Parts: sequence; structure tokens; C-alpha cells
Amino acid sequence: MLPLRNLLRRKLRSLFCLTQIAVAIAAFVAIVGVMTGLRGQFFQLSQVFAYDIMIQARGASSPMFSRVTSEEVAAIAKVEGVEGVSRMGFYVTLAKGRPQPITMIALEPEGDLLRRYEILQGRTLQPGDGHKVLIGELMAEQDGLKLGDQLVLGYDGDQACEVVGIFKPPLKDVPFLGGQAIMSMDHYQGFYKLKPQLAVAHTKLGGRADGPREVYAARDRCLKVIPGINEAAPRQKARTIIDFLDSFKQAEIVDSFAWAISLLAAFVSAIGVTNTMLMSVFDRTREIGLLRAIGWSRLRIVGMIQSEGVLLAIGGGLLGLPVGYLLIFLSRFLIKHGWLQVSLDPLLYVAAVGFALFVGVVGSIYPAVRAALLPPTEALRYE
Amino acid sequence: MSKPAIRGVDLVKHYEGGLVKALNGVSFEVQAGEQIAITGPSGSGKTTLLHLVGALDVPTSGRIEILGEDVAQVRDLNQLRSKTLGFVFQLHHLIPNLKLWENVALPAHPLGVSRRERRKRAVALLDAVGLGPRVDFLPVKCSGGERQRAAVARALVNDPQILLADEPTGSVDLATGEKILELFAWANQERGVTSVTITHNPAVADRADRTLRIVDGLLAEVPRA
Repeated sequence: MLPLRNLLRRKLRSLFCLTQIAVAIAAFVAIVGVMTGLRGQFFQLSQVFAYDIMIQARGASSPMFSRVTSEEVAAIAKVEGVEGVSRMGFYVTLAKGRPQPITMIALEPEGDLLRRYEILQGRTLQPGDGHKVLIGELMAEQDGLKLGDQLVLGYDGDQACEVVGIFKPPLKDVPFLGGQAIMSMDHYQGFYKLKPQLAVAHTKLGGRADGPREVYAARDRCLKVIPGINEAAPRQKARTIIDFLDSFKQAEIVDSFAWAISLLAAFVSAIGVTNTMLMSVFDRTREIGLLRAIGWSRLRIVGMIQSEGVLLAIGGGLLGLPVGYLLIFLSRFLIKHGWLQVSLDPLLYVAAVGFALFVGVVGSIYPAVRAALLPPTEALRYE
Repeated sequence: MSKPAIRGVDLVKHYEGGLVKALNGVSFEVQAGEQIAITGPSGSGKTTLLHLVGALDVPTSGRIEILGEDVAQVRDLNQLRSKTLGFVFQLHHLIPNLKLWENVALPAHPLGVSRRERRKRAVALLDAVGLGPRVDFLPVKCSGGERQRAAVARALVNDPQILLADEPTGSVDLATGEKILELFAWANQERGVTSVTITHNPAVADRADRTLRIVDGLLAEVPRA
């Protein structure tokens, strides 16, 4: 009761400090939400492609700069443990009447990868399909396209392709994939004269892992096959999906960024708590002297000041949590079909409360110790 | 003969590395139940002596015994300050956001006294000092005299054996000062409390059993007329 009443003595000061902590908590919740969302997406990718081995040209910094030849694909297909090989190509192009570019994916109509796309309307691609495309449900919705419509591609708008099917991407939490279009590898190579960039060796056709344990079991299975692939296609580098995703630094960057921002927010709000509590201790110097004179121990004084700091932080947390969740909600709403999904994990509550407690405890250590070490005789004389 | 309630032996207190000599070898005894007044000019070392007796400060040399025990050997000074000693200062030092009874009950916190018991004790004492109707008032709603009376009640809440007062009537009018002194007398008669009161006021000193005068860090007993 006493710590709460002490805070209420300087309502405005406490409110400012509370707001500062609330902003930090809101930022923490939002940032960790983004981080968790990204991790979730990566985990889904590792589930869908658990039994697949990604093959990319050695030295290519990104799949965009990779090439894989038909001979190499044929050699890889013969490696023991490989049940099938799919080639992939992709390029980014403009489409008539569409402000943002399209990521066009080229897949083999009979390959295992295309089978993972659920066709919602129309049909899938067939061998020999030229000037035919499948579009994602998101693109269909955004561009108002339906079966039989023409998707006019190219910078000059001179490459018309008929929409023959609308698909649902294999990753439910990556709706951005629903904004893509798929054409057949034959058309990609024949009409656009482009080469496949990636090969995907399947150690189990249609394989998909259900949980983390299976993901890692599938990875072990892939690791046994990889040396054979590297031997069969020495210019290529084969990796499991987990290793392939690890090569993308985005997750690491977002992780580091999130931690850096969170630590900064914690530091700033802890400074706020320190400042507020120090001012409070200065204001109450004589009071603290009196408490020491009437038998309050140093530990009890520390406890009182720390409780005030923790109360401030918890108050800030209670204020910041809903703001953070509101930010997440708004971002989910605004970037509904974006490349990044934000997670709304209940564990965030626990993390945010822990964050608030950390801020409260750390921020009030110095004022509390300072108050406890005040000699009562000097404190009582303090003007 | 029983041990004195307070005994000071060759007390020396220097500040600033010896530049300020507050006490220069003070020895005295206060028997249990005695009421002592300490007088002296400003800066003579009165408050320093009271702080040493109250275990709020340590002497440069010499020793203080409270109820026969050397304060330097006491393991828990907080316990000594909250249980055995009661303090009244020139300013009441009441905490403005606590009700009168909560202020009075503050010394009982470290002793682990329950909230109900704390209130019971505080209300009884506030009744005794004539503040029964004010128990739930904040200090700001009370007069200066009432606040000082509450401060006396606070000093008595743990039933201490020794009351240490530093100019307890220094900031109140004559009539209020008289009431404060009556409270001291009441505590002495009803509870057997030994008191040491620092004062500039000869009228206050006259009410004590003995008066000690401190000048330039040395103590001498003032003979009664």
C-alpha cells in the first residue's frame, strides 16, 4: 500500500514514467510479434520442404543468380535416395494494369513441387502448356482475375497468358505466395529463353513433416543423400531446407534487430524509472531519514523503493500490452497479404510482464540503494 | 543499584577529520524513569549527543550503553531503534500521504505487527494524546500542534523505554508546547518512560528532573535553584 501511495503523491511524474514504460512494452510486444511471425513462416517452409534438398549453383549468392542444367538434373535423379527431381525458375515481371510486379515461378507440370499447390478453380498446368498460367488466390482477388482472363506480362505488355487455374499456396501463413503466378517450365525455357535456376531433389515424393521432430528426422535423411548429389553435380551445392533457410540472413537480422530495439527500449525505460525514483528519493530524503530513525532497516527501505519501481513498471506493462496488441492487430490488418505475418502468441504476455519486471527492478536499484545508504542523521537535516 | 537506562562514557565526536569537534569527552548517566533536559547554545553538540544516544550515529571514541548494553555491540540497531527508543523531532516528519494512525503505526512495521494490531495501538495512542477524532485524517488536515502530538504518539507506539526528543516544542506555540510536555509527563508516569529532551526553552528544562548543559562539546549538570 505504501509504495502505491508514494507513487500517487506525484501523479503526473508517475504517469509520465508509466507512459514511457508503456511505449517500451508496446514496442517490445510488436517487435517480438514480428519476430515470432517470421520464425513461424520459416518453420512452415521447413515442414513443407522437409524431405527436399535444395540444389543451387556453387558461388551463387542467391537463387536468382543460380543455374542448373538438364544434364545435372539427370545425374542428380540417379543418386541413391532421390525419388524425383524438380526444376524451378523464377523471374520478376510487370503485368498490364498492375502497379506492383509479379513473381513468376516456372515449374514442371509433372513435377512434385506443382502438386503441392492446391487448385481452387480450373485446372493445373499440363505438359506443352504455352501462354497459360496459374495464379494465386490473392492475385485473383486483388486484380479481379478469373479463369479464362488474360494476364498481360512484360514491360511492353506484349506477352498475354491465359489464366487456367487459381491456386492456394502450400504455406498458409505466407499469403504473399498467393500473389504469385506459375507457368510451365517448357514455356519459361521456350518462350522466355530462360534457364531453370534451382533443382529440388525429393527424398520422399509429396513428403511433408508434421512437427519439429519429423522435420529433423527428414533432415537427417536428406543429409545422407547430399554427398551423392554433390558428387553427381559438382558445380552445384545441395542443402537441406533448414540449411537453405539458414543461408537467408533475414531471420537472423530481424532477430538481432528485435533484440537490439527491445534492449534499447528496456534501457530507456529503465533510465526513466531510475530518474523518477531518484527524484522521488530526493523529495523524500527526510522521510527516509525518519524511517531509518524509527527502526526501518536498509533492506526494508530498498524493498519500498524497489516496490515502487516495480509497480510503475507493471502499470506501464498493463498499459503497454494492449497498445502493443493493438499495433499487432493493426499491422495484421494493414499487411494482411504482405510478406510478413505478425504472430499473436499468448506467451508474449509472459515475456512482456517479464520485460516490465526487469525494467522496474533494474531501474530502481540505484535509487533504492542510494536511499538505503543515506545516513539518517544527514537525511533528517536535509533541506 | 540497577543499571542506568543510558550511560555515555567519554564520548567524543569529531567531524571533517577532526576540524569540527562536536563532543569532547562527554560522560553522563540517566537512570530509568528519569526525565532529563539538555540545554546549550546552538552548535554546542546537543543534537549530536542525542543522535549518538539514539544509535543514529557512532562516536569517534567512547561508548554509549542503553539499558546496560554497549550500543557498539548491538547486532540489530534497527530493532533497538524501533523497540527500545522513541524519537520526537523538532519537525513532526509525518508522511503526508499517510493517515495519522498510519503515521503513528510506522515504527511497528519492522516488528512484523499485523495491520489490525498496528491500527489498534495507533488509535489508542492517538486517543491518549487527544487526537481520537483525527485518526483517519491526513496530516495536511491537522494543525501544527496536532501533528506534533501525533509525532509523540508515533514515538510511543512500540512502548519504548526511552524517549529522545530534539526540541519537541520548538516549532509549536506555547499552549501546544505545554500539551506536548504534558504528554511526556504522562508517558513517564503511566509507562515509566525515561526521557531525554533537548531544548532551548528554560520552561521545558524546568519540568525535567535534571538539566544538563552542554557547551563547546562538554557536558555539565545545571544545579537547581
